Amino acid sequence: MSKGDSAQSSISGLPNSTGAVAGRIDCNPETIEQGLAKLVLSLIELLRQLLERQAIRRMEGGTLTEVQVEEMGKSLMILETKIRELCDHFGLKPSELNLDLGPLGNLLE
Amino acid sequence: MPLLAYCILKDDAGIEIPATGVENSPIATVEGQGLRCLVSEYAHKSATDTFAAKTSALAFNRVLQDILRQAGLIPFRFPTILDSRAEILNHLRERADYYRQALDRLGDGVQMEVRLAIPEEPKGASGRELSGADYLHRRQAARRTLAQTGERMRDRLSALIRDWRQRDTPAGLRCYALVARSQVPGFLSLAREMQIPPQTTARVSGPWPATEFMENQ
Repeated sequence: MSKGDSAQSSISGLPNSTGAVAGRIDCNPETIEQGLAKLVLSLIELLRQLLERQAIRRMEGGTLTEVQVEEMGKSLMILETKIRELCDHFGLKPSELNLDLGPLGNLLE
Repeated sequence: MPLLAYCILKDDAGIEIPATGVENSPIATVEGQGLRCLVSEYAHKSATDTFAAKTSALAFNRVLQDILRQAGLIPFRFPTILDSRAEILNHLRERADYYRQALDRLGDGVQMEVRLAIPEEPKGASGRELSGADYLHRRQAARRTLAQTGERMRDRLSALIRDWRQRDTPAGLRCYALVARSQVPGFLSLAREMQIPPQTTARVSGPWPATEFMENQ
């Protein structure tokens, strides 16, 4: 195990507090496309994660047939691959997909 | 000039405050309601410059770490910017009870973090196409392994921790321990010695301000 830096969460109830700089959408004309792609892909990734959790829960609960497990797994796998491809296309790393929601924390966590 | 807020601490905390913070601005103290808020003037140079933003974030964290070594604190998000001292005093007036209670409750506690993860196999590493069912079963197994490892870690460290919280995240399991400042070396040593399942990675970090153990308002 290693000791390393950690992203640090914090608390703020201040009305004027601003979001983290890295969490802003960059509206520079040269990078607006990437900024918007990041926003959209973050939301899609959130949905993918929610669907995956739900699929695992249903699988554990025994409410899915083998065929349904296969279909859901395949769909989620394809969706994950597509998100990665789109990240590549827009020069993003999958780990960069996130949105800072201010005092509520990050979207993907 | 706008003020950058660093953290809140009790005004009776006998500590040495760093001389300068972000953008090398002198750190000042705003006191009210038995609390102290550390601030510095902030020209906001780093608002649109990613490199400057990182440098500023690191400088901000250095200030917090300096204080945290000496006393409990409640950090602000970076960058929390206020127009004036009056605005800070107003905020302290409104939320003094909450901050005092939180600082009393946390005492000399700091937050240690263990991130447990199972890195994904590169695609095709197994030599065959993954089926949909395999995909879901792998995810399920990974989550179980992480949950069990988190439980074992919590048990192993139980003598050193006051409280424990964990969150399941896409990148793995994030475990947070509230630990007395004096117990940090023991925590680090025990956590690093712990055996974890193959393919699992564990990253221990801290001490950090105990933000995961604060009640959100």
